Amino acid sequence: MTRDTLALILAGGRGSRLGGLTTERAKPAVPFGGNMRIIDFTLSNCVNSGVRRIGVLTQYKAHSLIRHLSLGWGFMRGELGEFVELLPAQQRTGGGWYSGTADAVFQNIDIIHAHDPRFVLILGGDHIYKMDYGALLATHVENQADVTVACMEVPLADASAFGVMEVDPDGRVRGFEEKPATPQGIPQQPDYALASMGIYVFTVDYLLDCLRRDNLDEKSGHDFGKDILPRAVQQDRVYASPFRDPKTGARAYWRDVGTLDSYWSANMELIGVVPELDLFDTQWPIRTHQIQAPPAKFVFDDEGRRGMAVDSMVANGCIVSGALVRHSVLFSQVRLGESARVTDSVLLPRVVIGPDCHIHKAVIETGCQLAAGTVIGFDPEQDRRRFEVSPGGVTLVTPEMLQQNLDYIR
Amino acid sequence: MQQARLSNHSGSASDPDRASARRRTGSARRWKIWAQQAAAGKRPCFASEQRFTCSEENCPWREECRDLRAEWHR
Repeated sequence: MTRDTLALILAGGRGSRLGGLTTERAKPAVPFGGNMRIIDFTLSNCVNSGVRRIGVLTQYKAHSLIRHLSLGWGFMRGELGEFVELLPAQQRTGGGWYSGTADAVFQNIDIIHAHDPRFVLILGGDHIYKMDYGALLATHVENQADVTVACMEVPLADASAFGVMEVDPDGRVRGFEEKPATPQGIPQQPDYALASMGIYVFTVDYLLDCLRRDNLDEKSGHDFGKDILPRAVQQDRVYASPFRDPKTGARAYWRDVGTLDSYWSANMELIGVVPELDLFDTQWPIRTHQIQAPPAKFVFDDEGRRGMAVDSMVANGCIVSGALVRHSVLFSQVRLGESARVTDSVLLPRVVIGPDCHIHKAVIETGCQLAAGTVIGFDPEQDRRRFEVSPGGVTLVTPEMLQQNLDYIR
Repeated sequence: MQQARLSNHSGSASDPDRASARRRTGSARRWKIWAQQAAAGKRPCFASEQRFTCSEENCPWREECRDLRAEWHR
């Protein structure tokens, strides 16, 4: 089944809730986990599942995403029918940009035709999880469904941010509402709602019919969650496929890193002794592109001047020089000067932390250079004057906030 | 001591038996299980696409069969 599937990854969104992290790049291109970008999870899931025909739909500030895909995901063999193809908005069906998720797919309808798949797997490029899409496809075929929606239980308080479904005992979806103000709980678990993960399997002919009809509907917002699915639920065979750990049946790991707080905490979780998301699992590897750089180096071992990192993840090319890193994630080529202290923080590539800096609970954007003695994360009021501080107390620092210009694309 | 050292890595390495079972998986492991299934008069279905819809709760290989494992490791 996976061989008969074309995956389309919707990677055009800005992800504006991530603030300064997405002013210069699309959300799927935001670095994550020490040496990856968010989209690597969806792409790795595809390849690990055996889905090797992949289109990535781009729009907003896509340069770093395109660069990452060409450097890290160019290994597929075209002559064997495998590819990762870029599908930017290119006015194939009209004169506009992608105006919604369904419109983005509609504008590539001729390309879908040309690849002649039996199933189309619609994915977002902005979530962190490991999923075998083969299981989703098997459920779809077994139910003879027109559409299958991957879903998971979320606390009722958080459900307004998702598409919420009502499902009958056979798993057939009987109601679908996108971002409802008052979401309905699951009958067996009233404190939880069944939320769509934005992952859909469509039988191809059905999808193409839906998209053509939707395109002619002037009232439609051309969105899968708002327009296509609510209509499909009324008329056609839509099934839900709960996302569970295949062994234990428990709710599987899935994170929406759409806010600064959730982005920071998802990175922090990785540092745990036995993290829920295991990046060291060689059986389901998460592939990425990383720069060629020497191993991380920790220099000076004198009393009062010791370069060390504990309870942390440190990528290649980093130099910790007489500084202390504790419970933090350092991406590639980060430099720390003497007597600097970094705790509970995420330092993106090429950050330079000057001597005597004290950084706590912060996300420092790519390329920032902090002057000697800079203190961040101890006085929220003072931080708020210069930087972004999240509701959860995470401080985001970007080069723009420091009036620094980067001479490279992040 | 060995257990303590392993548990300082990650979830997959925290249990030596599981880590070793994972290392064993590969074609030799698959063929061995298929032979055992055939000898027991069953269909040799281990690690096949049927794992997604299999309802045989008592199968001794169920957990290993349904483990998250990339296509080329199966």
